[in-house]
Amino acid sequence: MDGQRPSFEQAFRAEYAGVVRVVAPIVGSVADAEPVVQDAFVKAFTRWRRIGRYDRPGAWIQRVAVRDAVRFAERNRREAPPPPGRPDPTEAVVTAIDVQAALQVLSPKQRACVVLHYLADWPVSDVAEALGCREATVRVHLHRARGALAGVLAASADSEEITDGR
Amino acid sequence: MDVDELLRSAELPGVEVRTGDALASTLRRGRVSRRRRGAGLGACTVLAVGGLVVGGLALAGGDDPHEVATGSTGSTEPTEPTPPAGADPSPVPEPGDAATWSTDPSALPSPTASTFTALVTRLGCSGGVTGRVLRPGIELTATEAVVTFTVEAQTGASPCPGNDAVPYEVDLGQPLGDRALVDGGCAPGGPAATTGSCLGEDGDVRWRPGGEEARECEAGEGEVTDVATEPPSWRQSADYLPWTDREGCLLRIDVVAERPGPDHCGWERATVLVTGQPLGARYTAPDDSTEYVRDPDGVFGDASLTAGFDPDADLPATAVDSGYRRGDIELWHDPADPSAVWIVSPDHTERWPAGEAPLCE
Repeated sequence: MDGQRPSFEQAFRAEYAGVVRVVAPIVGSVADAEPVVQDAFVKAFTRWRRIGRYDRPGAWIQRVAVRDAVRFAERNRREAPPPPGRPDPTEAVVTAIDVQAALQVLSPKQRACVVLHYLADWPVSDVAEALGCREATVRVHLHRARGALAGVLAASADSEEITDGR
Repeated sequence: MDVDELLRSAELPGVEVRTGDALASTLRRGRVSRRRRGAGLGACTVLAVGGLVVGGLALAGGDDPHEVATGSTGSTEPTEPTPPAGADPSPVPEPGDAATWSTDPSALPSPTASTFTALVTRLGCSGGVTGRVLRPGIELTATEAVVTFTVEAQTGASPCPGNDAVPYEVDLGQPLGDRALVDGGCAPGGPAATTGSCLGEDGDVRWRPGGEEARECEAGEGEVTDVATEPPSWRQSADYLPWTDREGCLLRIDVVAERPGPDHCGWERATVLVTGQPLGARYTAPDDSTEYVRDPDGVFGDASLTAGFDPDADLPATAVDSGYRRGDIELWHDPADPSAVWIVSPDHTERWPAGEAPLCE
């Protein structure tokens, strides 16, 4: 290894948990996320001479993992958990946990867009590149996701009115 | 609270992972995958001579016969793969110019077949001519068959009309099974990744098994597949089964809705399918909708519904295919007679009579 180029092992240790963290809300659980993420790292391993030269090899791995995660979620969408039930009535605010549960009512691509853009703070352009679609498509997914989430979250919150911001 | 504001305040959940174990597993799989990509002639040789060698190694107690057979160095720094010399599928295509591909709509792939026809198009400008298609790279994983095409290299500048599509019979070496067909040219960083052929709704996926599975598609307002404007509460109010159009795009609930009878009334063995009238129109009230009932066991207590159900019906000559699907099931109807619909599956046809399912309080 030279001084600039990380070894595969170094990249794995630096990036693995972070990629799992991004993928888990897309596929629904850490248990489902880990095989997906490991598949992405296997793909990187077999191409490491090229991938390892990139400025940010982790970004390549993350994009591959995200695409595979969406495919995984699409294949398993019938097994998705049901939408969140009514929260504890003493809960006065909609929490982040509620948001993550509510994400499961979205389509896999909508969910990926929301996770990447809102939870992981990716710009729309990066989300589009990761998902292999146009930025306009990402905006449509986000728009529809906000509408769907507004309905779900409003139904689960007694004390606050949720709007989709339109 | 604004949902936009709420989402911006949300964070990724924390995760606990065993990075060391995951690394070890990934390296083990990566080495096997790397050798299967044709990094060394040893792997090809072993595969070419058949199962005896591999079987022998397995019997010798190795938990990874490929590891032993190819003489792993144990390095975590893999070298660049080179194309194999053998006939086994390699993920590395024959060197040439970049190309993308699509499936042949007149001969779609089948999970049971090990071959399919790809329509290959040169990516670069070539005066409208794709030219000779070279041996593709093929990489099979548990979930994907990644096929990467190249075409014969061309020198010199050419005008840029769209190039023609050249059919090429791809031999995967084994049945496609439950894998999606993926265009390897669209891989992130690949030559076509940012081109229109890779930026469609399905990205790099050219075909997927169970393509009949419902998916939300982008649709114009008023179209039967415009599910984005459905109030979420509609679909959550019952265990609706997903009906789609021929392309697998999910239909709106107020176009076709199929649900089992409510289980808290003991009616789960019956099924109700609600459509607008005429079929394909949205319904908003009982007046402009029709319920079709499958109640072979009479759980609804309406003898006319049970009598009108035929578990092995013949399609009448006047019946037409609605184009609506649920998996491999087709919905047929008689435009002039809304008194029944026919549910056509690969091995039989059922007639579901129009009627009114009782309300479950």
